[in-house]
Amino acid sequence: MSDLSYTPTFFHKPWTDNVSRITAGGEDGFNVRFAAIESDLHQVSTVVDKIALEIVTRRLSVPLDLVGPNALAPESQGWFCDGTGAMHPAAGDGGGRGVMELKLPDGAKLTSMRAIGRYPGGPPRLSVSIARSSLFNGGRSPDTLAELTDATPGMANPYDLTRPVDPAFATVDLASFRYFLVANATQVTDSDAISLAAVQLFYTV
Amino acid sequence: MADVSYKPTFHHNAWRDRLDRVEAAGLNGFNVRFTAIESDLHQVSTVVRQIGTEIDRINANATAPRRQHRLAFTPTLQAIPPARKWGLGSGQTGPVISDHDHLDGTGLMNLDLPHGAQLTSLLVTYTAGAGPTQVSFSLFSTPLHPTTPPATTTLVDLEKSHDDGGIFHLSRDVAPAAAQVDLDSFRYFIVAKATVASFFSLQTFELTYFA
Repeated sequence: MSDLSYTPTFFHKPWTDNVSRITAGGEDGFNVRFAAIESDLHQVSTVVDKIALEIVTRRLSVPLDLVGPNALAPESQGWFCDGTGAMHPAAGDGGGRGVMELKLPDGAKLTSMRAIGRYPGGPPRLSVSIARSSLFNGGRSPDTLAELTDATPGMANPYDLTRPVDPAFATVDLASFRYFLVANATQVTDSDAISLAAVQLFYTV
Repeated sequence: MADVSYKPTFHHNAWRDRLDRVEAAGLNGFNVRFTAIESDLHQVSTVVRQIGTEIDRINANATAPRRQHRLAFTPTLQAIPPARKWGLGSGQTGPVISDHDHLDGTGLMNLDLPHGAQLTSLLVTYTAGAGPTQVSFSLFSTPLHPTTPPATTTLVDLEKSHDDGGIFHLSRDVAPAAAQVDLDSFRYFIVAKATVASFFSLQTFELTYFA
């Protein structure tokens, strides 16, 4: 469930007859109170939009199956699996490079990507992204739909980050594109310390 | 899905002390403002009712009679270093172990399961050559957030030892306590291990569930 909440800001401090001087301006005037009510009503509008989105949002839990440059030896330059299915990059400056196909529902509108794992801080670098590539124009650079890196605000250990999908590429079009997930980690000194444990995609239909 | 949205109409044009005449009636009076606020609050009430109706519809679907589904997976096992991995057979339908390489293998497959489904059983189909064979297939859940040490819950544990060869179907019910798929908190995977005499080919993982 998303972080749905609504906290109004309007607070009415009663005026006192024959004591308070009621004015339009000032911290105790009409204007500031009406402005707070107006702001609160707009906040309701925002929250209702979030609720509507939450009701229609669906989730795809991506079964991680990253393939590296050497699929037969994932411990070399790729990502390999631990006993719980979390993926870890190979050790070394080159680290791990991995890609996997995404099976997405045609016509769905992707809204966000959530990734969970471990990141101990620099110097290792980490990036996880979802992208699409044209079926007809192999020379065209892939479009990045959503990406998180070690520099993404909120990065912690363990991390649990949600990134929005670029609205320009949000609608899944299987007639024109294929979709994939890319995970890269470099300058890896301790494979066990870095992981990609789960990826979830959220979408509406 | 109802079109749930809310657009307030109230807008406050600030009065200026000693310049504006603040009165009840008129386009810039109190009344028109309070009427707009009243209307907007009633609109909130309508939207809350729409949201409630939508949630009732979702809950009705959730409590509708469930039916059984089957979900078949072609095993695509990942290595779990340093354990020896399963091989890739030529012309086989799934991962293999053969005496061309070695006679044991361990592999893992992450699963995408439907949120809220009630898992009922795991069926594994494989082909084994004659000779002493030991296999185990386990379905686990683990918390989405990594823990130290890693925490796993066993939903199904299938084990079998045999000396004969042929096509085998192993099946067992899922432990009811952990049968409901909860993607808010967990992810799911299967671990396959086998020690074989000559040849072994893994064909299918099949889960049944109610949803």
